[in-house]
Amino acid sequence: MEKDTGLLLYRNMLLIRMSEERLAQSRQAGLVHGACHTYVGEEAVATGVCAHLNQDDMVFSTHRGHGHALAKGVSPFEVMAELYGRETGCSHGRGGSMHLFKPEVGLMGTSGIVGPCILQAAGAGYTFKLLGKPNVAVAFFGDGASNNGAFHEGVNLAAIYKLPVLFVCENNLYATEVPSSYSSGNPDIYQRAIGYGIPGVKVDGNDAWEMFLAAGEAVRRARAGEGPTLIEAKTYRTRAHSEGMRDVGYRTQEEVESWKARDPIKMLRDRLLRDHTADEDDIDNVHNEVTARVTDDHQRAADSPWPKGSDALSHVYFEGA
Amino acid sequence: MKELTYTVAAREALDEEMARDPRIFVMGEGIGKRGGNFNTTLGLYEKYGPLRLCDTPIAERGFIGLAVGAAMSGSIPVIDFMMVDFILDAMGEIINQMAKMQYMSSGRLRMPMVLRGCIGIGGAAATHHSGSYYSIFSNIPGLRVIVPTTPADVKGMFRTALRGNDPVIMLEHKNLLSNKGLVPDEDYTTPFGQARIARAGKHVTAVGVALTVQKCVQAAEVLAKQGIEVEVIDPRSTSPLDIATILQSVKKTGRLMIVDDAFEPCGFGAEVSAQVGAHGFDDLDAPIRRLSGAFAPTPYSPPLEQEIVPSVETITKALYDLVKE
Amino acid sequence: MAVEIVMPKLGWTAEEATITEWTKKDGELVQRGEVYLLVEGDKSVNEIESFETAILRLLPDGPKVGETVKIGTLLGYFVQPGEKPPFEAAQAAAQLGGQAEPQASPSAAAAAPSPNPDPYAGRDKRGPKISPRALRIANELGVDWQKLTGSGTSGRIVEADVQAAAAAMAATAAAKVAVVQAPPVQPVAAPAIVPAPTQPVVRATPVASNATRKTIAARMSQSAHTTAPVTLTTEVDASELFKLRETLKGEGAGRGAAQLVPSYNDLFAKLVALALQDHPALNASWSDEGVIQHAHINIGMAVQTERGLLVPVVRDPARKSLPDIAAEANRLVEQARNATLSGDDMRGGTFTITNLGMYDIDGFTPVINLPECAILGIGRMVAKVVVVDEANPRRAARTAIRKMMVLSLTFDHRVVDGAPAAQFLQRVKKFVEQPYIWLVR
Repeated sequence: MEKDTGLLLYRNMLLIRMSEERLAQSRQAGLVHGACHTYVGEEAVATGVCAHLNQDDMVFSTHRGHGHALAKGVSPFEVMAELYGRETGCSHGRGGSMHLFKPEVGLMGTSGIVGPCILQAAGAGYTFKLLGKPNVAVAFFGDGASNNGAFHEGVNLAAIYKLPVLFVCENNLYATEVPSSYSSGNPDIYQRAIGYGIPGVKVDGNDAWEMFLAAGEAVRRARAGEGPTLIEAKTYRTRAHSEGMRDVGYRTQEEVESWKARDPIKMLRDRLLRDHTADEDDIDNVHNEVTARVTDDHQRAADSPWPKGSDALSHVYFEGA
Repeated sequence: MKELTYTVAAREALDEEMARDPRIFVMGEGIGKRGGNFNTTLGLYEKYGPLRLCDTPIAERGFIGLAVGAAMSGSIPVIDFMMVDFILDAMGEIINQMAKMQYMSSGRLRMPMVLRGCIGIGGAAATHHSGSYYSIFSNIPGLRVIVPTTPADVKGMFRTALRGNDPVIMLEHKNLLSNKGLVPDEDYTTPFGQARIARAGKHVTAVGVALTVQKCVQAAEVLAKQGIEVEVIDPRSTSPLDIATILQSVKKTGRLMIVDDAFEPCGFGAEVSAQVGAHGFDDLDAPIRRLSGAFAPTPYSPPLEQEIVPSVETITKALYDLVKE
Repeated sequence: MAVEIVMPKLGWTAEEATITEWTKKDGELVQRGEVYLLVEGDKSVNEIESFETAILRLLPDGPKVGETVKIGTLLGYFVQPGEKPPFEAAQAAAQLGGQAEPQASPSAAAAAPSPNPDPYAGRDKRGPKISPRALRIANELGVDWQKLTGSGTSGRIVEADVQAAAAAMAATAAAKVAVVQAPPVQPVAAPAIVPAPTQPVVRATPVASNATRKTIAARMSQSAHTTAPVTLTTEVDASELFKLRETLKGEGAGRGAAQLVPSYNDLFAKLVALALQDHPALNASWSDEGVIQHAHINIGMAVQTERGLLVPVVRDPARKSLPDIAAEANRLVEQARNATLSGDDMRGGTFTITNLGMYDIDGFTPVINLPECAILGIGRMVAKVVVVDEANPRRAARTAIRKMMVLSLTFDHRVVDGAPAAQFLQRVKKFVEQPYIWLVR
C-alpha cells in the first residue's frame, strides 16, 4: 500500500466518522430537524469505492448517504448545513439527511426511497454509453434494497446493455430492523450476480484496503466496457437505524460489540502502522486536521442563514439555465 | 402543409428531433427493429441503431427508473410505453423520482424526458389496456401532462417536449392515432398550457380531453342545426392547464360542461369546475356540469364498453339540457 | 275560498298608496312568492308578493292603475281554480250559463301552471332563483331582477331574462327622457327620506310622482316635530383638505378615467365616519327603549334628483379606501339619477352629510334625517385672509390667505347633549384642517 493512498483512505473515513458524530450530537441539540441515518461502522465501503472516482463519475445513494456524499467530495460544511436546514446546505435546505444533492461533484442524490438509486445508476451508465463518455456510475444500496424489484430490474438492465455501473450492496445485516437472513432466500447477495450473467464479489466491508482493491477492479471493468459488477460489502452499522431511535429488540449487545471491535478506522490504522506505511505522527496529523475541519465546518453551518420561505415554490419546473 | 396521420406526425417529430439532438434515445418494448406496436418508431432503428432505439424487457419500473437516471446524467430518454396502464408499475419512479428531481436538486439537475403512449377506452381492449389517468398525473407537481388531439398538435407538442427540460407525459388516445390532419412543413413547436378553440360558439362551452374533444365537436355540429352554438375547447395539456381560455369562453357563454373519459371523482372536470367556480362565478348562468367516464373498471364486451363513456349522443343531450337549464 | 286583496300598508307613515302596475293579469295563476302587484308609497315602488298559489281576480270596478287609494281599499281576490270570486258568484247565480270563466293566461311568465305548487316556493325568502351571471348583469344594468320570472327549466332567472328586462326598461326610459330632460344631480341640504328598516322589499322607482313629495313632506314634519334640534356652526381652515384633493386630482389624471378622484363629499364621508368612531354618541338613534348606539357607521349623502331628495348610503366608509368610497358614491349617485337606486341602498344610514357649498351657502340648519340623531351641513370653500400661527409659540402670528369653510351640525338634543356634539364637531374640524391624522388610520 502506498502511503498517500493509505492516508487518504484513513483521512476520508475519519472525516465521515467525525462529521457524523458531530451530526448525532447536533441532532440531540436540536440543530438537525428531521431524520439522521448515520453510516458509522460502514465508512470503509464508500471510502474504498470513491477513491477510484473522479468528479464526472456519478454516485446514486440511499437514505444512509452522508458517507457517500462526503466520500464523493461534498464538504462536511454543506452536509451539516443541509441537515441544519440552512440555505448553504448542499440542497439549499430542500432535502435534509435523505436528499443530499451535489451534481457538481457527481453526487446525484441520496434518497428516501429504497431501490430507485439502482435504476438511476443504470440510467447514468446508459448516458455514458450513449454519449461515449469514459465514466462510471455507482449505486450504493443496502441488503434491504437487494430484495426489492428495483434490484432485479436494474441489475438485469445494466447486464443486458453492458453498462459501466458498480452495484455496491452494503450488507449491514438489517433492513431497518429486519434481519437479511430472514428476508433473503439466499443472504449471500453477491451470488445473485450469476442470475444476471455478471461478476459478483464478496468483500469485507470493514476493511478499507480490501474495498479499495475490489472497487478498483470493478471500476476498471466498467471503464473498459466490460459491463457492471455486483459487490457485496459485508459490514455493520454500530449506531441505531436512525438517530434518536431505540436500538434494542432486534440485535444483541454482544453482536454490536463484536462489530465495534472490527471498527474499520481502527483496522486501517493498525494496518498502516503494522506495515510501516505510516507512523503515529502521520496519523496524529490527520486527526488534528480532520478535527479542526469538522469543528470549523459545524460552526459555519450552524451560523448559516435560513432559506427564504418564498423560495419554497422555486424549481418545481425548469426555470432557465 | 401536408396531410399526415396522428401517428406519422408524432413519428416525424421524433425522427427530426433525434436527427437534431444525439442525446435523444427511445426505450420500450418492441420499439427497435419491429418499429413499435403502434408503428411509433417505424424505420427509426435502421437510421439510428440499437443504442438509440433500445428494446427493453417487460420491466416498466426498471426502464423508467433507468430513464430517470439517464435524464439526470445528460441524455434525453423517450419512453414508449404502449399503454398507460403498463406504467402504473413505475408510479414510484414517476412521482417520487422523475417529478421531484429538479426540485430536490434545487434546479441543478434537469429532467428532459418524455413518457409517451396510449390512453383511452375503445376497441374492446378491456380494463388493463383502457386507462387514461391524466387526472392522476396532473395532480403531481413537477410533471407536464399533454394530451394532443390533432396531427399538427402532436408534432408541435412532442417537439416542445423534446426540446424542453421538464419531464413530460404525452398521452395519445388510441382512437385518434389514425386521424388525418394538415401539418405545417416548417419547424414549429406548440407550447404547453395554451388551449385550442376547436370550434367557436356563444351559447355553451364544452371542454373535452383527447377523444372527447372530437366528440364534443361532433355534438356541436348536431346542435348547430338547432341554432345552439357550442364553443369547444381543447386544453391540449392538463398540466399546465390554460384556465384563462376556459374562463374567457365562459365569460362569453355563461355555461360550462367538461367532458372526459376518465373517472369523475377528484378528476380533471372537478379541477376545471373548481377553478371556474372560483374565478368565473359571476359569469355563470347555470351550474357547471360534468360528463365523465363511469366510476368503474372498463368492461370488455362492446355493449358494456359503450355504456361507460360519454358518446356523441349523450354529450349532445347534456349540452342541450345545459343550454336550457 | 276567495281571499281579499287590499291596498297594503307600507312603512310606518303611509296612509295611502298608488297602484303602479299589476304584474299579473286578471285570471292568471300566481305562484306563492311571486310578485303580482307594484304599489308606490313612501317614495319607492314596493313589490307585493303572493302568500299563496292562486288565481288573481281583479275587482271589475276597482281602482285603476295610477289611482291613489287609502290603505285597506279592496282591489280584488285570490281564488282557487274553479272557484268564482264573490263579485262573479252572485252574477253567475243570476245568469246561469252566461259569461265564460276567465282563462288562465298562457303567458311565458305563468307557463304550465302546475296543480302542485312549487315545493320550494316561499322557502327561499330572498326571492326567485337567479344565476350568478344574471345577478351580476342585473346589478350592472340596474335591473330589478326580483320582478322577473326565470325562463330556465328550473325556473332560474338567466342572463337572457335580465337582458330582456333591461331592453324594456331602456325603452321606457327613452320615452320619459323625451318629455323631461333630467337636471344634473346635485347634493343638497335636507333630511331625506330613508325607508324605514321594517318596510317590505323596496326596489327601484322608475317614475316620479306626488307620492314622493308627500312622503318627503311627512318625514320633514316628523323630524321637525319630534326632535329637539340644535345647530352648531364652526369655521374651519380647509386648505390642507383642498391641497389633498388637488394632489389626488393630479395623481388621478395620470391614471386615466379608471381611477376616480374622491369628491369633497367622499372625503367628508370618510373623515366624518372616523370622527364618529371617536365620538360614538353621535352615531345613535332615539327609540322607545331609549338611545341606541349603532355598532356600524354608514354615511348617508343627500342627493337632489329629478324626483326629489334621495339619501343613498355609503356603507362603512371608515374601513374603506377613498377610491372604494368614491366608486361606491359614484354608483349611488348614478343610480339615484337614473331612478335605479334600490331601497337597500337608501337604508341603514347612521349619520348624514349634506353639502350646499356649490350654491355659495356658508352656514345653514340642516334637518335631521330620522331615525338618525345628527346631520352635518357642509358650506362653500372660500379663500379668506386669516391670522395664522397665533397660537404657535415658535412662530410669529401672521396673516395668510386660506381656504375657509363653515360646518353646520344639527343634532337631536334628546339623544345627545351640547358638549359631546361640540366635541365631535371639533374633531371633524381637526380632521379637515389636518387630514394626515386620519389618512394614516
